[in-house]
Amino acid sequence: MADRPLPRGIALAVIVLLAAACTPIGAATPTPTSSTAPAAGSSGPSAAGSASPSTASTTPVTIEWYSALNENEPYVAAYKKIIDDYHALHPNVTIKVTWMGRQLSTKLRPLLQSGTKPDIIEDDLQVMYAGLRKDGLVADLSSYLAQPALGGTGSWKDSWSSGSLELLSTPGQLTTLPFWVNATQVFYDQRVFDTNGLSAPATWDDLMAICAKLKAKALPCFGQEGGFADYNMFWLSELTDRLIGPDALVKAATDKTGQVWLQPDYLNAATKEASLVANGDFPKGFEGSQYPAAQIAWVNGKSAMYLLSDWLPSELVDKTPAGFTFRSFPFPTVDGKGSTTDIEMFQWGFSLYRDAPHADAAADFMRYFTSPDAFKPLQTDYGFVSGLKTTTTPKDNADSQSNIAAATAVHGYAGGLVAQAPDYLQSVLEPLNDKLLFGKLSAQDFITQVSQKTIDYWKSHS
Amino acid sequence: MTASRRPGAAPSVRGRRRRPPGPSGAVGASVGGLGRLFVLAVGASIILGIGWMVVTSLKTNAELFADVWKVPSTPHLENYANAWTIGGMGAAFLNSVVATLGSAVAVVALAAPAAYVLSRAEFRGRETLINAIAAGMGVPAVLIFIPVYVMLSSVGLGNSLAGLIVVYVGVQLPFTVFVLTGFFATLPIDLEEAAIIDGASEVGVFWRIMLPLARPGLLTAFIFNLIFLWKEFFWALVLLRTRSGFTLGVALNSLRESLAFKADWTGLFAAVVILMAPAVVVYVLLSRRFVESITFGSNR
Amino acid sequence: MTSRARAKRRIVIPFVAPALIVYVVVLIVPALQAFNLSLFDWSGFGTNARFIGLDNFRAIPGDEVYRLALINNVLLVLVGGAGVFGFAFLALTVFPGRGRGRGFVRAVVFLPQVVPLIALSVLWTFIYNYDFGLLNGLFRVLGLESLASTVWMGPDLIEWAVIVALVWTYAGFYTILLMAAADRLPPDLFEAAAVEGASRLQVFRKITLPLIWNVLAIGVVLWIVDAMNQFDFVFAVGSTTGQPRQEIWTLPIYIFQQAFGERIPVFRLGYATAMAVSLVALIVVLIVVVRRVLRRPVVEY
Repeated sequence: MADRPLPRGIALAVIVLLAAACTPIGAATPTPTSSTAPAAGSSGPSAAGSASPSTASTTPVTIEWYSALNENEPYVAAYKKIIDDYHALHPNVTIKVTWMGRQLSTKLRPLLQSGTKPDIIEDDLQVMYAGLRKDGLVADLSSYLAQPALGGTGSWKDSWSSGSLELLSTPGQLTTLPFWVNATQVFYDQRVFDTNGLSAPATWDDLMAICAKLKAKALPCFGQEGGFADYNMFWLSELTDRLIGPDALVKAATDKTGQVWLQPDYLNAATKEASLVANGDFPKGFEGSQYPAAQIAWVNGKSAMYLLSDWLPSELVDKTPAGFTFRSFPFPTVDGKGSTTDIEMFQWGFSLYRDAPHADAAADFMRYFTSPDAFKPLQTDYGFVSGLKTTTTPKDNADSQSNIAAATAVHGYAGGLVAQAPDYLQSVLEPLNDKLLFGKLSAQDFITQVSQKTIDYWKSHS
Repeated sequence: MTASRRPGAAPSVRGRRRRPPGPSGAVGASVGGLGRLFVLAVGASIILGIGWMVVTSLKTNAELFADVWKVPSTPHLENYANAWTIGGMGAAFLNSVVATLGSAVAVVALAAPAAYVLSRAEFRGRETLINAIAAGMGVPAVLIFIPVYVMLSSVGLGNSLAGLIVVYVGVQLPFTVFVLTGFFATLPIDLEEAAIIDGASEVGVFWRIMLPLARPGLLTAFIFNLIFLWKEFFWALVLLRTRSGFTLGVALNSLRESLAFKADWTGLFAAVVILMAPAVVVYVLLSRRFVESITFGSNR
Repeated sequence: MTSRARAKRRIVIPFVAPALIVYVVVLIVPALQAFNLSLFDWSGFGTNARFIGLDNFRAIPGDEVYRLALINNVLLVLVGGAGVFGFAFLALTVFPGRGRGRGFVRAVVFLPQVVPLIALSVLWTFIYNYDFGLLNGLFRVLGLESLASTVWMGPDLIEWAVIVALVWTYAGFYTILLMAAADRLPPDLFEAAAVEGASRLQVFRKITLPLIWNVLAIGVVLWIVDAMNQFDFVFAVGSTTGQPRQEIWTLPIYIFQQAFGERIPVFRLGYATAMAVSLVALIVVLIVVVRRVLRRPVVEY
């Protein structure tokens, strides 16, 4: 058989493609826009020439809004009403919301890379920090905030509680609009406390005394979504905050020598956390609970209290049995340390994308969204506690709102670890904290292991 | 999540039909009985599990939590309506159909001519080429997903069904070429020769003679690709990022995450049934062909 | 060479080229790029990739999560493999030949293979639920109260729960694979065995197993590939929020997590790719070893 070699054309094509495969990867990607440069130029209000729909322009504009909410979350109904109302007022402005769910930041990064241009981005602002802000992808809103507030006096900026705009903004700028603020609280049903003759405790020991009392009545003290590591972290976050200070976890997590974890107060915090399961303060089977089973069980009276942030009533808005009265108190002081007016808090809200194509129109819409009249249903129907100054009492969250109003200091969940060292939180701390909370690891072993694993982590993440 | 490399879809080869006598011996009969019972119980659990999901998808959540086994007196089709519209399974269904059908057609269309010449033409490097393509069955998705995602993003095909289809065609090609090469090799050569003598061109021989002859093999390969791509999840998760482009698998995943806010399990199971039903129906209709093609495939 | 053969050779390029181009672009180029990418520190955005040689690979041995995920993969290969092939052997032993019930068994046990794994993981999440799950409910009905309060999705049992579910899902495919091979054996072999009064177990051990050994070896290799690459089911089982709990992560899950991230973007593309390269190397080594161990002279019949 007189075979000929494989036709040369194919061989050539293969060689070319193989060569392409070996080009350095940096070269294969589109030239980056300077993503580390601080927001500038295009982000200011009124880059000349761009349409200015906030004044009665009639040019059709579509605002692209990427939200970390899912479309079937209860309060989205109120969002849609605000959007419709705004569209009625400004028929030329269409607002297109893409409901991305909680993985918004992760999914958005490659979309931005390939040319998607959102205007408004809505997310947890610590997540926004870690995902977008630290790379300079959000715009400074200062000049917009200087505009007059809608339906109020003073500037838009004046309608926010002091410090709330700055907490997670880029230093020197205002890059966040935290219209939804979530303070960590211990929630309970007023009826349960009445029936058992209890009152809100101010110290850890008082809280444990309540648990002991409830135990005698066979009512587990706390509901706990054990299958959800983020929720299990609330205990360690609050205990270390009270005993050591708001930056306790960040200090320990970012200490590459692992020594900070060995300080005695960390062991004390871990010991207290471990005592909960040892005392039988959680319902049986909590460690395998699948969100939102535990919070639904709690609202139905299967446990007495629930440590979580004040979105809890909002999520339970259509699941609350008649007669249930949401109450809450701030996490108590521990061993006489810390203060109940130091509030751990999440902020949820808007940022404007650095290269937003309709920055002015988007800013105008956000100003409308956060105006008292438009925002009110989110408070009265869905219990949003807000970073806006407000006289409206949020449904089922009056306690949280007044606790925030009385706050002398605020700090982020897990001391801001979500923003500072998210991967550490997820792959080192949360798994160990789960074991501690479930009683699989003694407090001492937890400290030994977390210290060692912190050293290991930073070795492999230099 | 690897490129499909199931032993082969190929023509059904009927085995000899004689039935061997049942095994005998009283010893072990009871053990054998227990074994049979166990195997049948596992089989029953599969039917039960899938049937249970269908029944549950027709209940309200209140009914489900009152009694997880009870069949509802009136079926609640609104679970399906909700999953279809609010849950986005309707749009995703269409996307899945496009991605699956489009890829399966394209992969067979690309693979058939290649397999034809690979099995029936003589040229140097043929064996090497066959082996090189077959080696593609061993490339796992987890190895290539990052470069593929970077490549597609840079040409504007990230987050698009078109990009997904390109990937599906690529990862399914080796398997399809491999199977069809085996199939073409089994076809008789005389017809080919006769057509040439009648003056047909080589392309004509392939198009008018061999392709029709190969129809059973092409069909089997096509159906295998359909089933495999319908249940594909990993690539869709990697590439598709916005709801409007989701295929059923990723839409169900996002529903799984967001139904958590509503604790709407029965709605979730309606979505599960929407995803599962087409594949199960195709399988039930064609199960013999499936089983037989594995019979053939394992022959090699 | 005949003119026919020459004519036929002219269509080789146009017939093969389209398939070959797609194949090379989608599979081969990215596979080669992966090896290249594993030598870089790169997020995929803006900042250029930084060449760091083998540093990504050096980081792997100290990575606790990698170790945990690898252990889960190995558990799945070994324990899951024992379950999958144990079931297949049992089915072959108790349903020998083309006896009654076999067709039914074949059609049914294969069914989970056509159902998307993400759908099955929703089912199993419900089955294993502590409060209202089907499994604990079943135990309650049977009066086994102590079993009925098992926390299947808790940290201690969840990996085993996942393995059981995966065996349930995959056993059918391997059963069919082996049954198909057994069906091609000449029936006279079984007839002779029956005449000699061999038990089912003897028939399986002495006749069936040696004669289908080659197919079994292929099956084991396929299972290694399935188990080492397991992603879909584990990704979605046990959790109603984003990621599964870390106790059940497999390497592909961890690679995916490092490549993209969950709520917080991670985008350690270089490290993720290095882990993927290591996973492929592990699979190749495993397959080579297994093929060597399972090598037997082919039995003619």
